[in-house]
Amino acid sequence: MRKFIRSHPHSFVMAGFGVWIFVAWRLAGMPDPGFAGRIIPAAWLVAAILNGKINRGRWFFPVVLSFTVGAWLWMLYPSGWIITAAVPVAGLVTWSISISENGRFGVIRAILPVLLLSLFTAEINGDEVRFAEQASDLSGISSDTFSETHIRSGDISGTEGHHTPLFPLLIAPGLLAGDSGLRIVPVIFALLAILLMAKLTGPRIAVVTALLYPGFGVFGLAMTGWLAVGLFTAGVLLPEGKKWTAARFLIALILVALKMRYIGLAAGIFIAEYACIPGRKWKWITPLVWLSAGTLILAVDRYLLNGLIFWSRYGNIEAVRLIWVNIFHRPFTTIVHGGWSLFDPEAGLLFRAPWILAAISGLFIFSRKQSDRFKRLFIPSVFYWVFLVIWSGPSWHGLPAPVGRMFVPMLPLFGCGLVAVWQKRETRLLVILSIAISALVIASPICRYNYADGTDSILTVLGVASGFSMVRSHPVQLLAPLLLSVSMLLVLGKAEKYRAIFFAIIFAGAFLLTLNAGGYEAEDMSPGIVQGASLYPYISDPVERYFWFNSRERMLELCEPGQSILLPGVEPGDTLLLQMSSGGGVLSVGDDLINVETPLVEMPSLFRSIGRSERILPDWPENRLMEEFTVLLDSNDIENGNVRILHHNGSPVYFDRIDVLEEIVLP
Amino acid sequence: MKTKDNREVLVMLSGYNAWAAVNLFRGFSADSLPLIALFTLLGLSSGSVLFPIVLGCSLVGLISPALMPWAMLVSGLPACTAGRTMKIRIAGFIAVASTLWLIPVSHSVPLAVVAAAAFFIGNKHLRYFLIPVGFTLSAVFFSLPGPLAVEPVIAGSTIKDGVIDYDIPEVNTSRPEVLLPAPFEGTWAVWIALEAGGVRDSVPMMAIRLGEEILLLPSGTDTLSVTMIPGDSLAISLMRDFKPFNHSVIHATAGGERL
Repeated sequence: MRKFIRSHPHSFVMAGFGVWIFVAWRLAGMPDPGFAGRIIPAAWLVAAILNGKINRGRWFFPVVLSFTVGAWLWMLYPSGWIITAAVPVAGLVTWSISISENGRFGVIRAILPVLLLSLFTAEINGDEVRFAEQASDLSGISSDTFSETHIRSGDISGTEGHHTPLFPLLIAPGLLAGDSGLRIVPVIFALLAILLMAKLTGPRIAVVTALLYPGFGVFGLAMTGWLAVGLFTAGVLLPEGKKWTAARFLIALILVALKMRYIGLAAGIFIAEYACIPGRKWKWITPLVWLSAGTLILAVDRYLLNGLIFWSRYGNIEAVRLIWVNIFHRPFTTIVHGGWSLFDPEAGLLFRAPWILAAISGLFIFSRKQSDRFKRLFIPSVFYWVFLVIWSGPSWHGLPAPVGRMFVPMLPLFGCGLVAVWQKRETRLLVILSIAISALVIASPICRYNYADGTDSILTVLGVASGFSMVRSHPVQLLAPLLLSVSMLLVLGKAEKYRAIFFAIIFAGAFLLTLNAGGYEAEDMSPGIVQGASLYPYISDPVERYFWFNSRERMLELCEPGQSILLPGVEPGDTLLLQMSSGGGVLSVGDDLINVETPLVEMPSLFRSIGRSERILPDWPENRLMEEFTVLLDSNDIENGNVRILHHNGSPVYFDRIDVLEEIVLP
Repeated sequence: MKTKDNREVLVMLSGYNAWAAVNLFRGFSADSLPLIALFTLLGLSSGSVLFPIVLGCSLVGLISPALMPWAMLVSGLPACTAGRTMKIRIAGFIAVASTLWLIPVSHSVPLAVVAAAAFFIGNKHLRYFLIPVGFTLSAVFFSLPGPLAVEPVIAGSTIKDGVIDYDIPEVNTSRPEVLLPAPFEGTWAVWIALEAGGVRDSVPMMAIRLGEEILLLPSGTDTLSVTMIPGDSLAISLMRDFKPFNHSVIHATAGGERL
C-alpha cells in the first residue's frame, strides 16, 4: 500500500481535494449539499482514480485555495455558492485538458469525470423528449415516460414530429434500459466523435472542443450535434481517391437525413470535394451550368407547369421562397442576424466560447499549412453557418434548447484553428475564460438555457443585466463587438508585439457587455418594483415571439386591480418616459391619469410584397405600436420618494421600458 | 514600481482604464476603489499560476458590483498566501485590506488575520495551509461573513383573474428574509406552504410575521393562511445564524385570491 501511495502521490492529493470539497461544503453550510455537494467531490474522486501517476499541475493549489476562500465567503452574495462550486469544476476541466495527451486512452479518461458531471446536471430538454418519443414510436421499444407522443410546436402532426426519423431510430436501443437509457447511444456517439476529432486535431484540442462551448452545450445529450461532428470529421479524415469521394458524398447524404439543418454542411462537402480536385482553369463553369439548369427546370415547373412535376409532389416552395426573401428582400436584416449569431450574449458564438477567437486567428496559419484539409473543413462550415442564418432567419439560435448547439458542427474547423495557436499565451487565456463558463454552467444547470429575451442566464447569476442583446439593441450596436473582435484578431496575429492591448480589449468587452443605458427594461424590473404584473407572452419560449413584426421583447402587462409598478428614487420635477402600448387603457401615474391608445402596426411593406394581403394586423398586444409617453411628476404624485403606476380601467397596457429624467436645476 | 517589463504596467493600465470607465458611466462609488488594488495584482501576477484566477475575479468584480467584494477576497487572499513573489503577496494583501476597510463585511477579522499572518510565515507550504485552517477555525469558533445587502428580498408576484401567485426565492443564511407584499388594492386571502430543514434540532427555525402577528415554526412542513390588505407585508425569516454542518433552508410557495 505504501508503495502504491508513493507511486501515485498526485492521485492521492486529488482524492484529498475531493474529500475537502465534501467537508468544506458542509462546514460552510453551503446550499444543495445533497446533490452538488456530493457529485462535485465524487467527480474529483473519479478523476483521482483515473489520474494514475500523472502530475496534477501547478494550477492545482490555487484552485484549492480559491475554492476554500469562496466557501468561506459564500454568504456575501446569494449566488456566491454557485460561483464557489464552479471553482473545483473549473479545476476538473483544466485537469481533463492537461492530462488528455497522456496514455493510450487519454482522451476518454480525461473526458469521463466532466462528462458524468454534465450528464447528471443537464436536465432532459424538450428536443430530447421529442427524439425519445419518436424513437419509442418508430422502434416499438416502449419506455415509461416516452411511449406516448405529444404534439409540439413545429410538428407535422400528433404522431409525426418535425425531426427526421434517422436519429430517433439510432438512439432507440438505449430505451431498452428505460427512460434513463435515453442518453446511452448519444454518449457513445459523442465519445466516438471525440476520438475522431483527436485524430484530426490531437487529443488535447479534441478535449477542449468537447468540454468548452459550443461543443459542451450538447456533449452527451440526445441531440444530433455530436453525431454530425463525428460524421463530418470522418469525412475529412478519409484519404483521397474516387471510392473515398463516394464515401464522403454518402456522409453528406446521411447528414441531411440526420437533420435538414445540415443541408448547408452537406452542400459544402460536395463543393469542397470539387474544390480539392487539381485545378483546371474553368473547372467552376461545369457546376455552375448544372446549378443553373436545375434552377431553370424547377422554375419552369413552378411557374409554367404549376408545379406539376416536382413541387406538387416533393417540393415546398415556401422553404425556397424564405431563402429568396432573406437574401433579396431583407439582406440587411439577414446580415444583422448573422452578426448576432456571433455576438449576442444569450446565444451568440463568442460570448460563451471566447476561445473561438483564437481559433479563428489560427485558421490563417492552418490554411497555409494544410490547404486541402482547410478547404474540406472551411467550405462546409461556412456554408452551414450561412445556410443556418439565411434559412432560419430570426430563429437561427434554436433557443430555448441548450445554448450554442447550432454551432457544434463547426467544431472540427475551430479545433484545427486552435491547434495552430495553442502555444500562445493569449490562446490559453481565452481558453481559461471559456473553462470558467463551462464550469459555471455545470454548477448552475439553469445557465444551459436561455430564452432570447435579453436576460442571459450566466449574467443573471452574476447579478448583471446587460443592455446589449439581439432583442433589445439597435443593429448599429453590433459595430462595437465587431470592432473589438477584429482588434482582438489583429492583436492575436501579432501577439508578441501587442500583448498588453489584449487585456484592454478583454476589459472593454466585459464593460460593453454590462453597459446598461439606465432606466427599467420590462424584463429586468425587480419584484421590488413590479407587483402582480406579469410578462407577456406568459410563456418565455421564444417560439411564441418568432412571428412578431415589431420588437421581439417581452412586455410587462398591467391589466387588473392589484397590479402595480412602484418606481423608487424619484423627485418632484423629474420626468417619466414610458414606452408603452395599448388599445385604449387608462393608467394612473401618481395622481395623473393617462389615456393610452396606440395604433396597430401596419403590415411591413416587405411582407406585403411577398404575398401577405392584409394591411392591418390583428388586434393583439404585439401588434400595437409602442409609443413614448411623458409624465412630469409633481409632489402630489410622489409618496416617500416613490411613484406608483397602476392600471385604472380599459384595455391592458403593455410596457417596454421606463426611463426617469431627473430635473436639471440650473445654478 | 519596478516591474519585469512594460507588459505588467500595461496590464495594470488596462484594468485602471476599465475601472475609470465604470465609474464614469455608472457614477463614482468608493466601494469600487479596491478594484484598483486588484488590477495592480493582475498586472503583477501575469505569467504566474494565480493569474487566471485573478483575471476571472477582475472580470467578475468589474461587471458585477454585487459580487465585487467576493471577487476581491477570492483573488486577494490566495495571492497573499500563495503568491510566488513578495510583490504579488503585498498586492494581494492590499486588495484584501482595502476591501475589508471600505466594504462592511461582517466577521472579517479571521480573513484579515490570515492575510496578515502570511507575512510572518516564510515556508511556502505552511502558508498554503493558512486559508484552510483559517476557514475551519472561523467556521467552528466564530462565524462566516454574512450577506452584504441590508434590504430584505421581495418575492415576485403575478395576478391573473383575481388570483395571485408568489414566486419566492429560497431562504437561507445568505438570504435570511423574504417579504411577500400584499397587492396595492383589495383584501386577499393568501395560503403559504413552507418546508424548512437542513438543521439538526427541533428548535424553531423560521418566523412568519404579518403586522404585529408573529408565528415561530420548527423545521418540517407547514401550511398557513392569512388575510392581507394593502400595506401589509408577510415576512418569512430564517431565525438561524450560521452554524457549521447546518444547511438551514426554507422553501416556500404561496398564492391566494381576492376576497
